[in-house]
Amino acid sequence: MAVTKEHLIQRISDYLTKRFLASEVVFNPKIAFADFGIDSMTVVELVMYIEEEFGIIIPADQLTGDNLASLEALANCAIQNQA
Amino acid sequence: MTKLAHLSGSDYFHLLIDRKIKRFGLAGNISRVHLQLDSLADLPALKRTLGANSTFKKAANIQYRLSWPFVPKWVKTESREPRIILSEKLTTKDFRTQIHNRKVDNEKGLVCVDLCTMQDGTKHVVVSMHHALFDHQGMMNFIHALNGNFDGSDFARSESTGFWKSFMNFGAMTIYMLSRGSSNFGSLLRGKQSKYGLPRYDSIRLSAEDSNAIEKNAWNAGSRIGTSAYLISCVARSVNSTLKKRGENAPYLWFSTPHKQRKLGTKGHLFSNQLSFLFFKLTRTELNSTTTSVESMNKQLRVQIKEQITEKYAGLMDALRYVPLFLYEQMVNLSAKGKLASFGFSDLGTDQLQLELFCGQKVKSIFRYPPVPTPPGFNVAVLRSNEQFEFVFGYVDEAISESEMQQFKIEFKNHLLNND
Repeated sequence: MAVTKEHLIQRISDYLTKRFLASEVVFNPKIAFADFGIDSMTVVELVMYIEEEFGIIIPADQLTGDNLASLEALANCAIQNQA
Repeated sequence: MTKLAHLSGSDYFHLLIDRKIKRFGLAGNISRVHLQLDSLADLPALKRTLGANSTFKKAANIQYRLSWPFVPKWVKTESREPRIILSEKLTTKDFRTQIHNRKVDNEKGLVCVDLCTMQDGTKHVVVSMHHALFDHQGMMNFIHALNGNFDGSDFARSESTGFWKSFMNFGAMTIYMLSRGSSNFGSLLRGKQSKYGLPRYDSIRLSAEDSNAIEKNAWNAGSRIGTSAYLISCVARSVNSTLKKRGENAPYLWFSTPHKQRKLGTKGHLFSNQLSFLFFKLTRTELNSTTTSVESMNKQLRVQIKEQITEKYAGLMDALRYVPLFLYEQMVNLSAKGKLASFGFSDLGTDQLQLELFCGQKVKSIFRYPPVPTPPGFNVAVLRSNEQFEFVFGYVDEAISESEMQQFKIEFKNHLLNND
């Protein structure tokens, strides 16, 4: 069954908050990852989380700075690559 | 004496590195930040300001206590004043032998500030910080705190891994390291010596145009999500090339890169390391082109993320806090015969020290001197400042001579800009 963008954002936000963010941080998917100090290594983990949890593979040529700028952008890219 | 916090596993690991470096007659596992001030700067006034800084006073009184079988602790002493050394009429040689070699330790304090006036009238501040007490983010936070601009906490909130999880991590990582570790990797450090010369530093700052070209080359070489794999591959290929010129044909290079484990979203705390490591091996064949080495690093990175190697390695370091340092050192030496790695590499991310003023004094430029873990005696740090890449090389002559270093820089730049 196809996953919705809202569901994807919710699940990744939960994962991100639990695993990487300080407890006092309120995460907003529209704000740039960089503003939360989320580095490239963490973004790699998010891309792999999307692959493992939802079976969505983002082709390497789509892993651009624009597509990885925020969770909103990453989720849009993932949804477009949903089988 | 008041107990402040436990040493983290990575604090203890940095103490191990410090012990190894000092054994060879070097200053230790120390990072330095160097600010060149305007020549009108008032250094005695700066000394008074820094001496009254509450964070500096706090840092000056922190020591470690190694009390086995319990986890080593950070404790607070009551009597030490911030260590600030005012020097005048220094020559370039003095700067290298005294300031670059300034020791910070448990006895005198794990932080020291040098305020120097050179013979040519230029004025400088060098903040020397011990790596057991600070990780990179902590060092940046400390400089901002000296500048009166930090409102985070002192120590990280401690999160216990738990005995069984630590035990499992210890087992998993021991198997992982033993299955990959060997002492057969290429190393720049020549032979075994009892003492090494003072470290030297060099740097390359690339223009915005060249930096932009590097970003594009990294993408074309297959480096996705950040440029680190590309930059490391260029360093590794240049190291391999230096070895080849010496007639050494290393079967592979082996190195680790630090991976921060701090919780994200805030500047966090000042003291104590929260980091782990990723491990890479690049074979002779993979080092033939930047694309093949990037491809190999990407594969290794994915496997390590999937197997949660950074978390497990952090767990291993936590468990090793129960092992006395001398025994810990023997364990590390056994697995790599004392060589540890082919080279050191740290990606420091975006420059966090774009200061115009430091305690009211005008800043002209900022340099960084990374620690020079010896072995391997050659360390590269990269940061991005105003969209420009800056690479800093710390090395000892026994690892790479000055003429080899100049050749290394030419070759490294070539790899970066040409993606060959």
